[in-house]
Amino acid sequence: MTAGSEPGAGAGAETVVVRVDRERCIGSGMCALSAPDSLALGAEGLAEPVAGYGGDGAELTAELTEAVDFCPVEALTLYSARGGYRIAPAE
Amino acid sequence: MSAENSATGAGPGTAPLAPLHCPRHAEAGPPRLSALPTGTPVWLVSRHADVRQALTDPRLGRAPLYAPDAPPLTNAPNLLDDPNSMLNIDGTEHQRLRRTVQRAFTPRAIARWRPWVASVIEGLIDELIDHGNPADIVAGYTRPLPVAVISRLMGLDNLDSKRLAHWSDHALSTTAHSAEAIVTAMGEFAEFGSAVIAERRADPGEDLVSSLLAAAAEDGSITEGQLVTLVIGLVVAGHETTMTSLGNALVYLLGDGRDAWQRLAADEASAAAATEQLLRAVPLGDTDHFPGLLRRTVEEVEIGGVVIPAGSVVAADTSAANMDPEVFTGDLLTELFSPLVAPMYTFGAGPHHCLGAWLARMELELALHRLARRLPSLRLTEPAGSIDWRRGLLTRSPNSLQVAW
Repeated sequence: MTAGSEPGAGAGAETVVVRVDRERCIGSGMCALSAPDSLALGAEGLAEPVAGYGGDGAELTAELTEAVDFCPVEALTLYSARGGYRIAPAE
Repeated sequence: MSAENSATGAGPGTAPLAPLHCPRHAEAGPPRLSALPTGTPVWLVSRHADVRQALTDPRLGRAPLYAPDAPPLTNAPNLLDDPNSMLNIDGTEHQRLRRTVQRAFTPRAIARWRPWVASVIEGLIDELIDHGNPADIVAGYTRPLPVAVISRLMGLDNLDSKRLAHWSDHALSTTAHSAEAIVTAMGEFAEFGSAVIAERRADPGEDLVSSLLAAAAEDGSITEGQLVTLVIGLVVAGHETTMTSLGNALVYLLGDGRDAWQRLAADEASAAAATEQLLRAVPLGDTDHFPGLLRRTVEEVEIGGVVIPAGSVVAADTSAANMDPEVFTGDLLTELFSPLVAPMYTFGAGPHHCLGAWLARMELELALHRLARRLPSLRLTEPAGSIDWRRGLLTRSPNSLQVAW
């Protein structure tokens, strides 16, 4: 996929859910800045997945990958929505 | 081994100071108005939940503290007051700068250094033993360990220990040095930072400076001034607070808390638990010139039931929050090896949460565990009341600490 892909061009592409470890999250807000369509700061100033990312799954975007990668405390984990397996960070 | 810090010393008329682990009288309660040493009004926030809000609520920031309309925060600005600092920008601009270094400091990135850090620790203990009784454990252990670690991470092989001490003391000075002396020292420190940057651009390596320069070049929005302040800020932050925390932990563990020494030696997990409790309960410094982590409101905010107007300076007293009697009921004597019942805020929270938190934790737990294992009879040879403290800085730690085993 290129950066110019149409929405939906990834039909059959990975859909993901993101989980927040609330014990680890320190509310840096870096994820909400990087990937506002996937994560927001919610109750108690901690990160929460938005829309499908907390439920049935949604498209894996470059922004979300970056947010997971750059979380200062590694509180974010990506899972395959269909397979349930962990995508990132690697075990 | 001689003391190398210029900010030393009990001058005439300076009373002995209580060790940092001795609880200070802190008033738990809702935010209340006080004043900074400059006379600027400041809202003191001290309860656990209120401190968390002050540090994570986006209606408070660091950049507004240095806006043109901001009131004076200090009579002698130090490195932390540099508007170029990563600490003093917010939002997207802050994130772009922080991401140039973030990847090097995540828990997994730090864990890769663990065996090497352990080997540095063992080497320092070997040298202490070779030196023999009595020894100054600051000069021989608490200071050289974090200096060695940050030097290795940043590839600063020829960092002169005396110049570093001089710069660090000025970088975090409150009253130890004049405003002019701080400006001069920070000018020299910035020249050092610029030289390191020029050297790594010409000949990149595997070090943190080379990687942050590559990330900044890719980003394209980061100024040279920001890079220089980031590099010298990493040098100072990378060792000073770890040295302080380790020194003050040893004042406690070799004195009032001596009964725990044997268990610290038992396993790394015990040392890791103790590290969290020590970080919580032993503050990095006093609150007389530094009432807490400062923020400024960009709009009216209610914290702990109190309405704080837009444009107010707020001090989040993390050491009070870490001792909030509504949250933490035990003390170090009973809970040193117990897991924390709530987050501690020694590393802050929110966007400016300490970049080096995981590195500091790892250094502290290994340093305590290995020292207790190798020197089971280690003890202070001077009473805690006569400790020579580094004074007039944001942090307070022993200038030297005589021990025997």
